[in-house]
Order: sequence, then structure tokens, then C-alpha cells
Amino acid sequence: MIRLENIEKYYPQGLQKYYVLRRVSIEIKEGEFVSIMGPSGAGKSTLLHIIGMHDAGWDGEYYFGDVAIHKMKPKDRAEIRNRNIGFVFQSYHLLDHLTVYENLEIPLSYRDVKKSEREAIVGDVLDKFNIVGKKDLYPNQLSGGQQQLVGVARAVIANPKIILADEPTGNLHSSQGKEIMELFKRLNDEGTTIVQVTHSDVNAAYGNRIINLADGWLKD
Amino acid sequence: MENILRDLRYGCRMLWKNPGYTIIAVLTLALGIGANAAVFSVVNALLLRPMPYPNFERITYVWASDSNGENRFSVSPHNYTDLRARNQSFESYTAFHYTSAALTGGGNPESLSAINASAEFGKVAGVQPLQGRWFTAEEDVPGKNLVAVISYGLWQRRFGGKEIVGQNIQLNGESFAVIGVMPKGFNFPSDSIEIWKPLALDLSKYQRGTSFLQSMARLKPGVSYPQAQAEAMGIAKQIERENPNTDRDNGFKLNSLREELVGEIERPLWILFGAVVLVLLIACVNVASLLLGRATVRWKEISVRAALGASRWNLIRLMLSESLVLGVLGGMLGLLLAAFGVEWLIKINPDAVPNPDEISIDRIVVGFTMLMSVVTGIVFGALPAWQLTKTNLSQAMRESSRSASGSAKLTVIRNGLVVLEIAASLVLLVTAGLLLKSFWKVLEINPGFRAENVVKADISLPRAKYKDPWQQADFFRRALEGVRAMPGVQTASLTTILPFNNGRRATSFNIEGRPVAPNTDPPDADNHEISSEYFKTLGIPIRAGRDFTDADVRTSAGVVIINEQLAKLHWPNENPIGKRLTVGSPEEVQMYGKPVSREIVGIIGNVKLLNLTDEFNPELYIPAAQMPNSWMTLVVRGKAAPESLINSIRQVVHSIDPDQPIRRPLALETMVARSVAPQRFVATLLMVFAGLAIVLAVVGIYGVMNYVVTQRTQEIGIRLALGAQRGDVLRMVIGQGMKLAGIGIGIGLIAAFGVSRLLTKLLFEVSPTDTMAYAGVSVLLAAVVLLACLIPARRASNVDPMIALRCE
Ligand SMILES: Nc1ncnc2c1ncn2[C@@H]1O[C@H](COP(=O)(O)OP(=O)(O)OP(=O)(O)O)[C@@H](O)[C@H]1O
Ligand SMILES: [Mg+2]
Repeated sequence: MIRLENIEKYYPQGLQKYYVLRRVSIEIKEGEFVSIMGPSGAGKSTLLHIIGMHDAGWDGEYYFGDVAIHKMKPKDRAEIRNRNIGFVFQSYHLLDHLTVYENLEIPLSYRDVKKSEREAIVGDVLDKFNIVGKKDLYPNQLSGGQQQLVGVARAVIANPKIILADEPTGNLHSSQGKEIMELFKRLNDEGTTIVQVTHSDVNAAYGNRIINLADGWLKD
Repeated sequence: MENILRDLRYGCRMLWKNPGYTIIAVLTLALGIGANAAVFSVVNALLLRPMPYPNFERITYVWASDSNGENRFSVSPHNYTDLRARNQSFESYTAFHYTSAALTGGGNPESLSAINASAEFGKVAGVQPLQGRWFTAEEDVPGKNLVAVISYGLWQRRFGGKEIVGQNIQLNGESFAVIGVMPKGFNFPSDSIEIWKPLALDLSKYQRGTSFLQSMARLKPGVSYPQAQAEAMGIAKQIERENPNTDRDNGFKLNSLREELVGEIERPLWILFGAVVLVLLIACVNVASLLLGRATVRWKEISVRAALGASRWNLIRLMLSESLVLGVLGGMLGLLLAAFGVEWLIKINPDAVPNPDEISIDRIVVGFTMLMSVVTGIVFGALPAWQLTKTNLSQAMRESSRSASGSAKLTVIRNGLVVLEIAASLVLLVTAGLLLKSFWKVLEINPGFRAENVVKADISLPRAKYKDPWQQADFFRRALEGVRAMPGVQTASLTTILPFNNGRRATSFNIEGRPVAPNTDPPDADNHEISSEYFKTLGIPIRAGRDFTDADVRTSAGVVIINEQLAKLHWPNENPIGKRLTVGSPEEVQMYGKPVSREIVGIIGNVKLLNLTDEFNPELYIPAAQMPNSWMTLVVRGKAAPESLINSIRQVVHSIDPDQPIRRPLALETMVARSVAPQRFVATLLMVFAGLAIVLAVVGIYGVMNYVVTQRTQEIGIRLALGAQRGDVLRMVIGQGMKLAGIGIGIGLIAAFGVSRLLTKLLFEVSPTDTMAYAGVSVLLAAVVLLACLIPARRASNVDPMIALRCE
């Protein structure tokens, strides 16, 4: 589903290049649950953003299915991203002044889904995630675990093929973290590909493969 | 006290360390406060400062009016005498008329503005001469009246300030004894009067109904205007009952001295004052918004201070002292701007306001400005201080780490400020737009003559020297011939009444073959005595018939030319040429022994007489050679510069009679421009203020939108990560700006609708609800807001989601 060939990423540092990723080649198959691990500063988030097509400043080849992303214009990339990828963030990034319901609606609103359809989809997801009772609350009226639950719900709402999660449980209690990981497992069982960045072996254990990064290099 | 000083010192240091912010804030305030100080100095000089006459508020003009108190006319000698004898409200009551006096003997002849007034003039003014005395009732009778009071200025200029009381001077060829010198600055009842002499009214000379006087009274202490007005009206009714033929539908209208002087400019001035208050409001909003924007930066400082034990009041005081310093700095700079501004105002438009010399930055203006600066500082400082210190400590600490949702509230407030700013700008712009459009319409009016390349000079022959009317006519004939022969002169002529020069003079007339029905007034018209080529000189078109020629003289047949308006009124379906009418003024009867029958020989185009906005009046023109006058106005059209044309006139007059001065030489264009000077003044200023408002609004809206984008950077990053396109973000930011614009414009339209009612009287052929003005201004403001949003919006759409999200 995703194939990266010799991905390189650097930041200019004075006259020199400061490499964050070196010759990273990985393949992720449909239905996999992959965990990216490695020390702080290794380039995990960077890699995830490249996969997520937020970052366009890199060298190498990126195939999404049959599509050569590295040859595409940013605008076309965005379209592929919107159709296929959902994101979960470490600090949830719910919008403070929108209710749970409205937060869930955002991705749909950017994908030209009709209003009636949106209502149905949001209602579905609220139901599935068991947060119907919270739909009119604001993020700051929720616990961290509940906020991340909404974060995950928001990631799946547009029915992506793949979910990218950057330390989704980093700000959570272990018990709340467990809940999220089990949710991911369930989504994975239903066919969604999942790529997560994590520091925790326990969380990594939910997945079926681990990619190790150190100083921008892949390690086996 | 010590604490306050420390706060002030700290405030100054904060400002010093943030020069960009300080400069913008101080400049903004200086513009707002400066505009206020400038307009206030005019308001102060004209409307607030006491006039230099004891108990001036009791001095009132008394005009003749219709029986319902409308319109105002000059007062007849008989009515003046009756009102004076019968009323109980006036402490003193004087009648007077403006005149001119040619001062000769010792130096160049000079034509001076003079007043002939009845004996109580000095009592009404309430000012005693610096030397000598006012004239007495004994001197206010024909034959005893050759005494004069002179102005301080004339005394200094002509007589070197040497002993003058008791000496004689030559006025209009007669010898007057100087009995008094007025103090410096005394210019009652209006500017530039230099001679006051007795009126010496001889009632027997005038029929009832002949009116040419102005009158002024000083009310008794404790008598109110409505009381005095009601009494005068009652007396008018009595007079009407006693003289039903001559005094039908008459009344008296009292108008205080102040109203008389500033009546026309008063409403525009208050409107200007309202406008600058709006400008100041917008400036305050901007600075308040700026302070709120800095709140985010100061959040940490405030919470640390609070953690160290500062009370809320301590914190508010700390922040207010900063804004006070800003206010005072802005005020001082503003005062400076105002001083230059006022000078500039008067220079560009010296005729717009009465007594422009009185306008100055005096202590009251300085005091007002400083007070305003302090109040301004508190007003724009209070809201941010209140908001910023409201959040409790734990919240503040937490929010400084997370994206501050407390600052979402600040955003709401700042949005509110933007709405207020847009609404205020709209009101100001609509007001300016309406008045500007109205002024435009006035300027577009065709006065009926062509003013360019025409100059004029008034000549008033002293009757003592030129006793015989035909002697006067001879003088003017020679003057005209002389001027016509001067180089650069194309055409020249003479007239008694020149448009935009010296008022109007109406006369009644009879159309031969159409007897006037009993109990109705004969028709009347504005009356001019002119010499040949008058219409050519002024560019007034001859529609039918002919102009006067040099063959239309005393001994030839009586002729008259009428304007289209008169033709339309009295011969709507006939050709008036060849019809006959008689004017039959007392002077005419005296000269010819009977009313002269005049044949209509020409019809000319209509002409505006006093104001561009006047209706056209019926007018008739008589050859000056058939009806001589002691005072006439020379009009000259020529290619030469106005000054050289005026010099030619002066030379010619001097060569005929070295003792004869000319008065008020001016270009006709200047005179027309003067008639619209107040409108021009108000329109110019409003345009300046509206421009100021727009600039301030752009800066303010830009600041707020920029701040909003900064606040929302992370949110925008999230949205981009969730699939928003650049265009979505652009639309979102601009949409937010336009939403504010929409609300602001909506509120502004309602407010402007209300405010514009105050303008009705000032507008000419423009409705206060003129759709174009409202729509145009709304579109303009929306465009301005769009512009102000563009840069922040572009910045927002360029947010890099990676960087925005990395702050976790
Ligand atoms: N804008 C930038 N300019 C320069 N260097 C950057 C920039 N952004 C990231 N880096 C560097 O890139 C490297 C990789 O960062 P990245 O965020 O991918 O690490 P990470 O593996 O996610 O670490 P963590 O586990 O702490 O989240 C880091 O050394 C970081 O300092
Ligand atoms: Mg990371």
C-alpha cells in the first residue's frame, strides 16, 4: 500500500545539511499495524508527516498504491491524502471552541460531504465510539482519554484506509492508553491500516511489526 | 502616591522598550486627539467663549418677519419707533444701518465701513469709548448729527494715536467732530466697522412700510427670549390692526447676537465635532485593541506578579498607568498637530467662519485637550486592564502553556472592537459622503453668469460733494469711459446690484393695462440700475430683444430689460417685448415729476443673486443713465491679471477725483467661492476626517486579523492536517473578517440612518437617505476590510501544518 524508497530529509544548517532521515526505505502492506519506535529526535514524527503528505520537502520515492507521490503536485497529493489518510495527534488537537460533534464534522466538511450525509456519519461514529452523550460538550469538559477518543473518532470519520498516529497515548494514563490501543486494534481488525509512533513496548505489542529509527537511519 | 509614581515609571519603561508599539499607539492617539483639539478650538472661539460685551447673552437682533415668525426682513423706521415706544422687555433698543464713509484730507482717500445708529447703540453694546463718549439723543437728530465715534484701529492708522477727540474729520465731504475712540478690538456689531455716527432718523421722510433698518436690543435683566419674543409679536399685531394697508402679515423675530454671528455655522460645527469624536473613538478602539493584543505577551508577567501577591487593583493600576502615559503623549503631539491644523484650516478657507482671527489654541483648548487625553487613556486602557486581570491565577498559568482559550474571549472582545470601528467609520463616511455630494451639486449650479476674468470695485460718491444725481451720473460715465480705454480691458459696465456682492434690492412695479386688484400687493422684482454692456461683461445671455445702448439716456424713452423668470411669471403665453411697466419709485418721481412708463426692450437669462442655491427671482434692469445713483459697482472683464485690472480702476477713479476711494475690489470668482466657503470648509474637513477614519480602521482591522491568525495558527495547522486546502483557510480568515465587516456595516447603517436626519438642513438636493451614498460607503468599507484581511489571510494559508503542530 505504501512504499518508500530512499527517502532523505534534511534541514539546512548554515552551509551544511542537517539530515533528519537517511535513505529510509520501507513498505507497509494493507491491513498492517505498524509501530515506529526510536529515541527522541530520531525522526519518527518527521517520517510520519512525510507519509501523511504534510511534508513535501524531501528526496526519494514515495508510492501510495500505484501512485508515485513524489511526482505529484501538492494539490493532487492533498486529494489523495484526504481520501485515504486519517490523523491522531499526541495532544489531541481538538478545536477548543467547537463541540465534540462539530469537531467530528470538520474532516467531512473539507471533503464536500453533504450536510444530511454528514449528520448520519457523525451519528454513526458517535454511536460506535460510545460518546453520543458527549456530543454537545466542549473539549475542555472532557478527560484526556475521552478527548483522545474523540481524536481517534475524528481520524476515522472520513473512512480512511490508513490511520497515522503520533504518540496517541503520550499524554494519557496507562489505563486510558490501553483503551485507545484496543480501539486501534479493533479498527485494524476491521481492515484499517495503522501506523503509530510510540515509545512504549506495550503499545507496540498491539501491532504486528516494528520499524526502528535512530538518528534518521532505519535499524533492524 | 509613591506606588503610582513607580507604576508610571514602569509604564514609561515598558513603552520605551517597545518603540514600534509605542509609536503606533501615540501616533494613532495624536491623530484622534489632534483632530478634536482643532475642531474644539473653533467651537470654543465661536460658540463657547464669551463675547466681549457685558452680559452679551442679553443682546439680541430684532428683525421684521412674517406673522408666524418666519423669514427676516429689515425693519421700517415706523415699526422700530412703535416697538421702541411700546415694549417693556428692552432695557435699550437701537436702530442702525450699514453705510460707508469716504475719509478725505491728509493722505489717500479711504472708504471706511461705517454704521449710522440711533442714540442707544452704545447702551446696547454696553461698552464705553476708550476716550470721549458715545453720541447722545440730542445729537441723534437731523442737523445736530455731525459727530462720529471712531475705532482704535483707525485712530492709530490715520491719526497716529494723537489727540483726536474734539477735532474734526472729513467724511463724505462733510466735517464731523470726533467725540470718541472705541477700545482696541471693539467691532460691534460686526467686523471692520471703523466709524459710528448718529442715525438722526426723520420719521416724516418715510412712509409706513418703507424698511431699511436693522435693530438690536438689550433685554432687561430677568426677561427671557420667549417673553420678549411674545411681547414683540403682540405689538406687531397691534401695529397690523392700526395699519391694515401697510403692515399686513407682519411680525418681529428676535435672534441673539451669538446666533446671528454663528447661526449658519453652528450646526455644521457640531457635526464636525461629532465627526472628530468618532475619529477619536476609532483611535481609542485601535489602541485598546493593540493593548489587548499585547495582553497575550504580558500574560506571564501578570500571573507571576499575581503569584507574588499583587492584588487585582494593583495590576489594573499598573496597566492603566501605561495607557495614561500613552494618552498624555498622544495628547501633546495632538495639540501640536492641532496648532498647525488650525492655521492650515484658516489659511485654506479664510471666509468660512466668522472672526477667524479669534480662533486660537488658548488655555481652554489646552485644558480640554489634556482632560481628553487623560479620559482617553482611561477609556482605552480600562477594558484591556479589566479583561487581562480577570482570569484567575491557576487558569492563567495553565493557559500560558496551552493554546489559551481565555484568549478566545479576548478575541471576542477584539472582534467587538472591530465591529464598533467599522460602524463608526461608516457613520462618518456616510455623513461625509452626503455633505460632499451636496457640495458637489452646489458647485455644479450654473449661476447664470460667467465669473472668470471679471473684477469689480464698489464706488460710493459722497452726497455732500455730488449733490445732484446727474452730477453723479456724469462721474460714473467718465469713470466707465476711462476704464474701457485701459489696456487689457475687454468690456466694462456699471451696476447698482451685483450678484454675490451687496445683497438684493426689491422694488414693486405696475404692468400697464393690468390694474392691481384692491387689497393685493403689486408684483415685485429685484431691481438693478445698469449701464450698457453689463450683460456682455458678466456673460449673461440676452434671450430676446436688445441690450441698453449709450442712446438710452435721460431724455430718451423709458426702457427696461427683464429676466426670463419675470417674463414667465407675468407673460407666460405672450411675448413681453414691447409691453410697458412702471416702477415709480420716490426717487424716480422726484427726478421726472411722475412715474416713467418703460417699454420692455429685452429679456435676459436668470441669474443667482446671493447664493448658488437660491431660487431664481424675477428681476428688472433699468438704464443707470435714466436712474442715477450715488453708489455703483464697476465691473470689468479683461484678460489681464485681476490685480492689474483693479489698478486700472483705481487709476481712472483717481484721475477723475483724487479724493474718491474705491471699495472692496475683488475678482467675481472669489466672491462666488466665498458664498460657498462654509460648505467647502465642512466638506473639506469631513473628507479629511473620513480619510483619517479609513486609515485608522484599516490599521485596526489589519492588527486584529493578524492577531487572530497568530492565535489560530495551531488550529489552522490542525485544519490543514485534517484536509483543509489553502483556499479553505484563506476563505476562513477572510470570511471571519467579512463577517465582522457585515455586522459593523449593518450597525453602522442603522446608526447613520439616524444621524443623517441631523443633516437634512445642510443638504442640497441630496436626501439624507441617499441610497448611493449608503451603498457606496458600504461597498467601500467592505473593500477596505477585505484589503486589511488579505495579508493576514495569506499568512494563515501559508501556515505549515508541521510547524504548527510541532509545538506539542
Ligand atoms: N524545522 C526544523 N529545523 C531544524 N531541525 C528540525 C526541524 N524540525 C525538526 N527538526 C529536527 O529533526 C529531528 C527529528 O525530529 P522529529 O520530531 O522527527 O523527532 P521524533 O523522533 O519525533 O522525536 P520525539 O520522540 O521527541 O517526538 C530532531 O533532531 C529535530 O531537532
Ligand atoms: Mg515526535
